Amino acid sequence: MHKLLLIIKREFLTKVKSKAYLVLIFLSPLLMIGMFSAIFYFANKDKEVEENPTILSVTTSDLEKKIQQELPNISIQKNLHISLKQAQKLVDDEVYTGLVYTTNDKQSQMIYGNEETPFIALQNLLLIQYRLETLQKLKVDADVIETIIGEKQVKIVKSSPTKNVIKKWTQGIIGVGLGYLVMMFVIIYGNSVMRSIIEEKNSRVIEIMICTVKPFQLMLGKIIGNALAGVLQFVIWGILLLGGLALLQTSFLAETSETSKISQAFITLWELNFIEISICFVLFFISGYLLYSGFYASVGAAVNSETDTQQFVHPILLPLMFAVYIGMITVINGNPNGSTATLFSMIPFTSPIVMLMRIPFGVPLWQIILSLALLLVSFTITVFVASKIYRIGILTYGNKPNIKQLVKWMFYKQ
Amino acid sequence: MNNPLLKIYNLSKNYGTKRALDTINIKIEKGTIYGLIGQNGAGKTTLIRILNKIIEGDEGEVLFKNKLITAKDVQYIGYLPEERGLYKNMSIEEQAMYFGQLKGMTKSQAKIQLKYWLQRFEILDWKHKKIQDLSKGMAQKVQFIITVLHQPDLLILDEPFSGFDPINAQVIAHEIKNLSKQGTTILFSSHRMESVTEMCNAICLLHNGKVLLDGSIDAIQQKYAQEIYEVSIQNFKEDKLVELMANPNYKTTIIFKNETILKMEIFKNNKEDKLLNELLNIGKLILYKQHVPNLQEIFIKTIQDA
Repeated sequence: MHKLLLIIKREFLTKVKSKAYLVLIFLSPLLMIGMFSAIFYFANKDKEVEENPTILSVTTSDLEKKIQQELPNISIQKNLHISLKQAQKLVDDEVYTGLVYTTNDKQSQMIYGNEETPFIALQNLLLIQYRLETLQKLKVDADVIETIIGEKQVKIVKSSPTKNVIKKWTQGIIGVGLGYLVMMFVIIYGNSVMRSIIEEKNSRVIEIMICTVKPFQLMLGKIIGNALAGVLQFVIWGILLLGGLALLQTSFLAETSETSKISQAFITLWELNFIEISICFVLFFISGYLLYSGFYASVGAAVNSETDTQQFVHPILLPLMFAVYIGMITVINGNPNGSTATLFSMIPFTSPIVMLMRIPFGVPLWQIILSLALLLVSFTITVFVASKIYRIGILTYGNKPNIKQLVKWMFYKQ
Repeated sequence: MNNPLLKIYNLSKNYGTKRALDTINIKIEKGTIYGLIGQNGAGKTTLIRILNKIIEGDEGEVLFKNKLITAKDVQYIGYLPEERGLYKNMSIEEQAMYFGQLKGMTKSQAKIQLKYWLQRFEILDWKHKKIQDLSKGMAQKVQFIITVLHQPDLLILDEPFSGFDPINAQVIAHEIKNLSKQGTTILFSSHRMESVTEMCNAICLLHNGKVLLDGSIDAIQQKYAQEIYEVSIQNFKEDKLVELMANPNYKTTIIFKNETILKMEIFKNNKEDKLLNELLNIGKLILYKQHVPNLQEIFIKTIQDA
């Protein structure tokens, strides 16, 4: 036990003291925040432009005045000296969002524009103005005109997403984030174990190590040491993320009303059970990592250099990627508590990712426990099998083995 | 000398159909430097790995301090593998603390021993240097220190001088002999026969997993010395020389011959002691020397005859 702790300590300290780890911890979140902020900024900037359509007006001044009165969000550009064709071309060239065209006698009227053009509102205005002028021409009594024209307009209100939809999206984003993070962590730290073993094998320090400790102890020490570095990274990222979100919320709430989508999203976010999510994340990350790191360790022991790892690493990546896609399809776009999502959150090779994607939506405790129990059994088997390959692989130099040989090694007696 | 630290009885090991060790029997006395020699693939590494408990033998037993060797005994063994290796990004001190503690030392014990050895090699100022910043020879010294740091009872050295310049090899040889004088038993595996002759009290020659020779170097050399004689004769008689050449009891090879001097190498096939008289009949005998073969010759001859 003492030796195992020493190995864990060395692996942990070597990992966390490395420059690559510090870069991964502090620079990656900054880069990610920077990237998302840039996307958010440019998306909003474009939206602002799109929300204020610019309409080219080739019409009478009274109608134009009316449009400005009724639709203050539209900016009107007046140009009476161009033909309809020229005006249409300007809209086609996206100089203007749309065009209101009327002849002086109002016999020919047209609204031309892209999807941002408020067709119905403009059509109403044109019709009302036409009716008004026609009635005035017919010398209809002003009271009657007022009664007809001044009739109550039908109010059109665009629906906004309900609280439930925003909640679902927020939970979905958190879920996908967690699942993706587990995949990333498993790959990063699994690779780290593999590289560390290759380095020990290449520098031949392995010869001294295995006459001091059992190969299984050495492998387990490496796996646990790296897992702890991973958990530390998660804790730091978690704190940074929550702090960042809180900061983001205060700056957003100052600008937007409480009913906006963003504040809705924040309300949903703070309603989530972060303690449950954190515990589940750590448990599923460790179990998933243990399940896969055994394979990474076997590959590291079997090969002589990192370039030889490709053919073995590819089969390890496939189930991880499959889990992310299955998770996205079933959990986010489908039913997070449906039978497909539940099934894949129980299968050990996909469960660490799919289950974590389901957690923000609320998962019955028995399912979490069952999934973890299945993972426990599975990683015990994979670590045991990996240790069999590892103890032979670390002392084998020269030829690059194939899968068949690795299977043979499992049954070798030393 | 009747205090063996290590006794190996009928030890065998197979890798699939290949027999790596075939009923090996060896006794290594406490405080001796015991040479383990043999060609590549003779079974030396397999034997060393069994002693280090890296692998298990299939048959037979290994007794360490008169008890069956267990994984716990490994902390009393120091192993310097032929292919050296240390953690490149750790300092000498960190490395020593790590390996020392893995071998059961406390931190303070490891520190004291490290200081002793660094002072002995006059590299105390280097203790915070990382291995990647050291020259190959310096890293080899550190590797030696790590091997002996925990004051092992049995020290297994596989080609200990490889990578050292002659001066540093001499320093290491001196330290090995010193450790032996202090009671450390040393298993010295090497291909370099001159260093085995210089360092070892006894040797074991392994070939295809079998022990071909085992015992003190003096006894082995004496055994092979009985057969070959170097002879120089002045004013020799040609007819007597022809007679000697035709004698089936001897296998005679002329090394040099001119009108006045004759140099020969004579291999005696029988145990009768008539050779000297016969040589005196040929001419004036100026050299009659029993050839004591060096370890290299014994090694080659034994392997060829096997």
